Amino acid sequence: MNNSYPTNLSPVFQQAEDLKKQFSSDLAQAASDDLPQLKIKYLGRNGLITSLFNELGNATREEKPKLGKLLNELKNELSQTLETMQKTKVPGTNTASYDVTLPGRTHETGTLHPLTTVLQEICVFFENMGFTVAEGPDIESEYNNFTALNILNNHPARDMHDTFYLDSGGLLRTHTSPVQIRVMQNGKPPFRVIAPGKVYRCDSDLRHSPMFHQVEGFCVGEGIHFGHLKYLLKLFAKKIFGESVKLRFRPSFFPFTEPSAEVDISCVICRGKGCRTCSNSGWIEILGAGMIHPNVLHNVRLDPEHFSGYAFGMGVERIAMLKYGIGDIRLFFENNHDFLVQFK
Amino acid sequence: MKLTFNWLKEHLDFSPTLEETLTNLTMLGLEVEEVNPVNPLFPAVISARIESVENHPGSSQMKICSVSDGHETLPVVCGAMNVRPGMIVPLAKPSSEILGKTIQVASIAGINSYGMLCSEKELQIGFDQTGILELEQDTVIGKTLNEILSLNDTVIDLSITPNRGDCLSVRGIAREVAASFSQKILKKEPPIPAGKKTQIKVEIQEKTQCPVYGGAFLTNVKIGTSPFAMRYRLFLAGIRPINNIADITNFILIDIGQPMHAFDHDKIAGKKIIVRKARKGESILALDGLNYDLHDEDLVIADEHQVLAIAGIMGGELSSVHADTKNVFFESACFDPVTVRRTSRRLNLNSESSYRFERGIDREAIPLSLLLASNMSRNLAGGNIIHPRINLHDKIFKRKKILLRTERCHALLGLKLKEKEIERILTRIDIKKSGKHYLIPSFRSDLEKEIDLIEEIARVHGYDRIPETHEKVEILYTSPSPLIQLTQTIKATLVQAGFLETINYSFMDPKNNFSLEGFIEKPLFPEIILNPLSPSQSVMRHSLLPGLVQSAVNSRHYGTAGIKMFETGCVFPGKKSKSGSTDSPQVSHTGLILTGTHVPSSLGESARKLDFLDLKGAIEMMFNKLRIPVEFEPLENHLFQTGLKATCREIILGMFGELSANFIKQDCKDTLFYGEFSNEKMVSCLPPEIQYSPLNRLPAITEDMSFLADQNITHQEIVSTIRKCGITLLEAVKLFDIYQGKGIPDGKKSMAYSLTYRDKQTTLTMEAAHASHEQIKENLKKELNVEFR
Ligand SMILES: [Zn+2]
Repeated sequence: MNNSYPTNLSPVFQQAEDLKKQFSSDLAQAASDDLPQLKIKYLGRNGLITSLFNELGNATREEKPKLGKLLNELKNELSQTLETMQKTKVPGTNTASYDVTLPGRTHETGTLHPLTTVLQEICVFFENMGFTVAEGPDIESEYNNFTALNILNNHPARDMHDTFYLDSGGLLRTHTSPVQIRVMQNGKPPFRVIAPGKVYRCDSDLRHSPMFHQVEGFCVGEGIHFGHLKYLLKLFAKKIFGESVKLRFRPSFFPFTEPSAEVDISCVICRGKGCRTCSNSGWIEILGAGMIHPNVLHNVRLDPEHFSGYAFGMGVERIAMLKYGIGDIRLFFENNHDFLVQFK
Repeated sequence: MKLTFNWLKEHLDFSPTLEETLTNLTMLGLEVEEVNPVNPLFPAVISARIESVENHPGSSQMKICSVSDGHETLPVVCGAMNVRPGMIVPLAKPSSEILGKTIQVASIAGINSYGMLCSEKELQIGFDQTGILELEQDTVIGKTLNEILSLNDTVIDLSITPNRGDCLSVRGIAREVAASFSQKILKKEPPIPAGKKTQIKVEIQEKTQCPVYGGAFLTNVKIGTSPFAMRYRLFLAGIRPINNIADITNFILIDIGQPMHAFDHDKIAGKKIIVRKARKGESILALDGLNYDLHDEDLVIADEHQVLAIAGIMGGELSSVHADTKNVFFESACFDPVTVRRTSRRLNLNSESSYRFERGIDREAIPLSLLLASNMSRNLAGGNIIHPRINLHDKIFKRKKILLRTERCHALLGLKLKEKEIERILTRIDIKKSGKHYLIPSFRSDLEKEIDLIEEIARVHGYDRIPETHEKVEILYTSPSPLIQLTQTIKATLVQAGFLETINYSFMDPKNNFSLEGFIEKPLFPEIILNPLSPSQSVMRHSLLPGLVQSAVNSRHYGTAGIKMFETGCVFPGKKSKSGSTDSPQVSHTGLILTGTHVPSSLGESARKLDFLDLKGAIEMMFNKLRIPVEFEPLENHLFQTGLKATCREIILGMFGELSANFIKQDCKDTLFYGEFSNEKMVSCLPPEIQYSPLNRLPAITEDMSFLADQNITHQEIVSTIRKCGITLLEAVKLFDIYQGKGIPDGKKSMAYSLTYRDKQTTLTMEAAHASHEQIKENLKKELNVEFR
């Protein structure tokens, strides 16, 4: 309604028009908390509309019905506007119209490194299974890293580890397995321990980094057997790779476990049909495991006739690469901003 | 270990399919790395005879051969020098394809050539490219190559674990395949030749390191090229053919796993083989053409004058079989794995032979290897066999016996097998019951204890048949160490504060030898890596700074506007003395870096440079979350342009600030803000658990003040002046505005504080609050000369 009234009409017409303008301007400045007050101001018992109705008596006979109709319309319009405003006006805003598609007011959060996220997921699973997190140092002794784990000097099994040696005579641990030795030397069974950490091997290409992460887990007690290991790792694989994943235990060799196994999951990419990731085998190796070798138990002064245990170890990068489809392991340590923000 | 499927099948008296063979190998722990079918197709390459050879009139490098395929005789121009009339050769006829190229009738230096004579390399069925492949003299001409030679096969590459030396041969793998089908391998029983005894005497000085030494002597051999079938086998197994005698030793190595060596008999001075330790100063020119200085721990094969071979590793050039060799002495022995490995590693000299000795060979296969070598030599090199001679220095070599307890097997595998079943399983891999014990075959040097037998039972029976069992355990809950909990809290808080977590290498460039005096000292004796991948990764880091600076600078180079990164990780303070203990401690730190522009995350915010206060805010957030009552004190340090140290109970927890420009030598124009803290020290300052204090429901009154102050008066001075008044009603002081610039006189700043008052006993009156407020204002005026507005 944008019609103006001829000047010969009663001033009430003009007053009604002004009132409407005033209302619009009041409404524009009102916050949602002000709406009830606005209602009182215009529509209340002593409100502005009511006082205009009181002016009706001063109008001419011809004008009366017209004016009455106009004032009623104005009253309805105002009360309707107020009602819809009350429903839609967002608290704290003071504009009558706004673009709800604008980005929300926020604050930028950072993100954990993808390896931390994967590592935490792995550790949380095992913690829920009654394992305790333990850590060991990156600089290890030859004894803890090799000898105590039944990896004897002058045995070709040493060739499986490209070791960084330090001038102090120590070395950078090549696996997290020395944590087994540290924990068992300083405690009493039963042990249920999960040990995440950095490990080092002198190798660098798409699939190898001189520093990477492993998670070692082991359990030692009375009556622990291979069937228990299979049960635990099956649950683990389902947790990390999904309900439908299949597991395969293949015989293998690690000097510190016997029997030893390599554990494959059905390929997460092709679901076992064969693809590039699984070199068409349908299977992807994810971890090594086995029953702790009696020599290792013996080395930490536990009687292998009395105690037995299983151990397993996995590469965190490998699991993260499978999970996120990352092709180059070195990306994890480049710490490129655009790489990291993808894991928010 | 590379072998071919046809070769494998020659050891079996049943015919498994390739697919089931590969599956069974995998499930027995012989990992299949690669499978490559070989089926070269040569539809247009046929056998042909060279009728005559003429010199090419236009080129001395070429010959013109008249080649007959039985139907027609056509000229073929050829650059190889081994062509001669009567030779049977492969002829690629015009329009055939070789190595992706189509052969055409072409004019070569003016002579039309109708096709191409091929070398085995050109046909990709061998290594040799020096001449045209010579086919057997009795080959029918005019047939395709596929009809003449059996070329189709499958190459299988297996990854053999270091314990399974017995699987480094075709026969060894055949044994496993046979076991997986509950079958047996074929026994090779070459005839034992009759003959005179050798003239060679063998003297073994090191009987523990050489328990068995056998030899076979052949006279009047003719050294030459092995027949194609033999060469093709070796080619597929990845072994380069040399001559018939050397090929025989290599064939036996792959076939039954026994490393052998062939000597030129006439080069053995004094007709005497001595197995002894090398003497100081001795050296040998080995078959690889290199000279090796020997050590008195090395085991060698020598004659009366000199070293002939490094035992089990490599023969010498001088005594090796050459084109003019007439008489051959084959050695087949057993050498100590550790001795071979030590020498091989020291000399950095590995061979197929040392690889097998290190992993243990089957000493019972030594006689067989000598018989095979003798018989093959007679067939391939026409020699006369003089009796093979075997010196068994442990004639009473006993097979190992291992006791196996059925209940132990149950207990470790969680699989209940009856004694009879166990016996049946082990018999499949030639481990036979003998009384209470099991008798271990000579080829399984890896089996020593009961646990080894238990693994074999599980392996042969199948890991997949061991039932998954739910473990009945007593769950002992131990909470993670305070350090682990603290780092988790820090990570979560800094992520909340907008920081990206990074993981940097634990090693760094030794050039980064800076200190943060009082917190991080530059190591006097850093942990040095003896064999680093590069000099820039050759010492262990003593601070997180180099890695974080690099990560931030790299990301800025890639165009990221604002960087907020952190890392929690180990640093290595170094050893106390040069010799150092191996148990040098490592400590856990948290580092933060910040640079570039703050990118607005909401409308209305404006872009600005990230600065010191952004860093300080994140650090305050971290300490608040940890509830560590931290104090910040000014810091004098060459590393920081301006900085603060964070202390708690006089312990320095860490330092932060704006890195000084001359420290950042990297290609970086940005100002970098950096902080590093000790996680262990933060743990030591952790407060006790939160204790609830009763809620105070008496109302508080807040009054604001705003004033102009000298610009060099610090916030901290103002707060302590306010606090110094000793107003007990004063609960909190909060700065809510600070402004300098337009409307404010030079050298001044406008500051606004909000002060909260509360009486803990009774309802505070407006008047009492106001009086306190005024008192504080008076004091500020007096002490700091501020002007209230
Ligand atoms: Zn796949």
